[in-house]
Amino acid sequence: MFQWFKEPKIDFMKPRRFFLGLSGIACMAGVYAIVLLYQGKANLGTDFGAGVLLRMSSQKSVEIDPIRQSLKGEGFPEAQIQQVKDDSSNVFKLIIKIKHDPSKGVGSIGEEVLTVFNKNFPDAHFSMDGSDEVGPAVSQKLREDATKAFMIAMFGILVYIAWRFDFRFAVAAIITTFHDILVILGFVILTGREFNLLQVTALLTLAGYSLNDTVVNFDRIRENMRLLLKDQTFAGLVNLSVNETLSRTINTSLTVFLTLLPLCVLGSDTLKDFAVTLLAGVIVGTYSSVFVASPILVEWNLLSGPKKQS
Amino acid sequence: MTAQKMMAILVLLLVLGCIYSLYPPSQKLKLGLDIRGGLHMNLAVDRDKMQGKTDQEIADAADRALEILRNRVDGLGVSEPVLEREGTDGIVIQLPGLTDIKRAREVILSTAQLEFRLVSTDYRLSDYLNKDGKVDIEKLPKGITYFPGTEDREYLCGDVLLKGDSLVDAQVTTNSYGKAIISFKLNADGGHKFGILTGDNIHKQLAIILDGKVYSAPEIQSRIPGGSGIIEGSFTDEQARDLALILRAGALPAPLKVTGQFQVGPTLGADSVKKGTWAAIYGLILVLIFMAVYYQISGIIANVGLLVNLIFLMGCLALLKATLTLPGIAGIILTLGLSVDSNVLIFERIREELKTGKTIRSAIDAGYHRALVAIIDTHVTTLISAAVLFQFGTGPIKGFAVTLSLGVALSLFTAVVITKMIFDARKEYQSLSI
Repeated sequence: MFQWFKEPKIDFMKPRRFFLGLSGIACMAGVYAIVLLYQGKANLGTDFGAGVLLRMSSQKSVEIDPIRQSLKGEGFPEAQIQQVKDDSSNVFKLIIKIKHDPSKGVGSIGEEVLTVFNKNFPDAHFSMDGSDEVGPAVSQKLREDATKAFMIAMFGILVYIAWRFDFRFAVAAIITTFHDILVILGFVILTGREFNLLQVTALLTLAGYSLNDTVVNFDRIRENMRLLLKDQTFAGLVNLSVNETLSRTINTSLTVFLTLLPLCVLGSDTLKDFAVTLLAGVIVGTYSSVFVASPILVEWNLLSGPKKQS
Repeated sequence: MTAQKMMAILVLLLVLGCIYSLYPPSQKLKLGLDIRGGLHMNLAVDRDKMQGKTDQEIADAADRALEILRNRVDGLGVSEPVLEREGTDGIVIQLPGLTDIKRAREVILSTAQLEFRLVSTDYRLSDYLNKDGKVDIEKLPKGITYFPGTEDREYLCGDVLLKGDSLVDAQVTTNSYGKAIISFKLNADGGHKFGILTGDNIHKQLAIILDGKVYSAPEIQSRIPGGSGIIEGSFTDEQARDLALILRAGALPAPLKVTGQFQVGPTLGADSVKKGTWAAIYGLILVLIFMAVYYQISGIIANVGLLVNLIFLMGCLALLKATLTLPGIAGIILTLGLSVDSNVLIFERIREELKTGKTIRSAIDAGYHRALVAIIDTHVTTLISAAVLFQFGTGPIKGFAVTLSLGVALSLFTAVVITKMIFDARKEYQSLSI
């Protein structure tokens, strides 16, 4: 029988206040990220911020600076240009992002930019691999839909938690879920990754997934509570439960981690970002079951004073 | 035959059925626009140009525009185009496999307002030029309008004498030089008016104006009684075909503006799918290896369940004609990791039960029984998120919600029922490799 630990007896509860503090700071990062989102300072994809995203490729490499100058000269002063590194082919690929210009129509910007490129860099033979052009009406609708989806999903999950758990378990589970979402949101926004619909999808999927781990731990805690272990403090009981479910916790996260890892490395850019966010979520979700959910239960128990276990 | 054997045969048949429904995958799986390539356009009635109209009038205009666009799009040669209404004033068009975006935009956005006017003989262009050499619109006398023409020509024209709503047909033919021309036919009333118009104005130029541009301004040689005529201009064959198509379909009842446009070229889609598929394969291999190493023979049993899950999932996608998108591939990858989690929960429980001294047979049963509650819980939360994403997500994200929820739901059967079936094949166990 292969096991990570024979009979783990790690004291997870001893350093719990340190980790709760750490998690609290990470949550602050998430709150700050939300503020940035509202201020419009976050890196928004075309889903949420009207504008244009062009994927172009050419036979020959061209320096980024001359490209920027040529776009500036033709009425696109704030174009963001990024080279896409593609190991599998020798084609020179670019991603160009341009904020929405109300004076120009939606849909024709790609053509304009392509014309500019072929005029200024005729030897490169640029072509358009794909483009997204989004006007303000559509991006607003997408923002509203994403917010609605988020609220309804969270509500559904909260209802499920309330139905499934006793009060203090429910509260701990809810706080843990929000913690996970805030931390990952902070990770995405503060590292400057593009925040788009797919990222919101990752967050919602995470919210559901991180609860799995927490459920497994809580089920064991409840089972052990029923066994009325007499000479255990509550903290001791929780710690024992966490240790007993440790292999489970690690392995369920490891399987998802292993399946997502190749996508983080090999996937095309939007899928890659998606997979990285999910992966970060799996790690944070595992961490939070042990170092957030369980400690909250212990602290709650301490706060409500020494009582007979019910 | 025992019930067990019947179940086993049923499962085998299902697996074979799924594999059969999947071959060949490029034809049997419905692929989203982000994989096939093509054009997705969101259009809306341009409210700025429709001031004072009620919401109902705008919705009616959008309904009529939808039908006209459907006819136009038919002529573009796209298989399985999708045209739908969205909200009060919106239209969504999806053209899978389309590569010529420019042409599609022209055909879709052209308002196709056809007008017949007389080129003015009383007033000359050169009298109304401003300093830049361009025509000063303000200076033009009443009843005279400026129109640009093809090949940098310019015209001053009088009032509208006949409009395009009298047009009943437009076809492409060639003239004696082999150049593409459009021959049109007017209805009875229009034909009558056309006869009078041409009869009264012999030797004057008849400007044929489409969407504010003069395509042709031939000199009227004689009265044209039959209500038919030709538009001769400098079009290519394709331009002529598109023009005839637009004229036949009719003018748009309201101007439309593009609110969103998403285009994926064929190489981009194919490239992304290739990368995604390899990532899925490598991910699958990693999980298979892990399960086999950590849980040994039991892990291999779990792997069988996983592979059956994958086959069932792909089979369902093909049979339901669900659209597979790039995020959908990510959903499949996530399913692989999640479905094997159920087996982890079961096996860890079995290991615990074995430690309490139960017989192997009863430890297996207890493990499955006790882990079931947690397994169902984990599926519920994932399904809640997937359901919301399906309801609110755009096309590609719907694809993710579909593969994730199907995969997770199927895994209840494959990870639990099928693996239990395999364990139950033996009545007594001397030892268990887990």
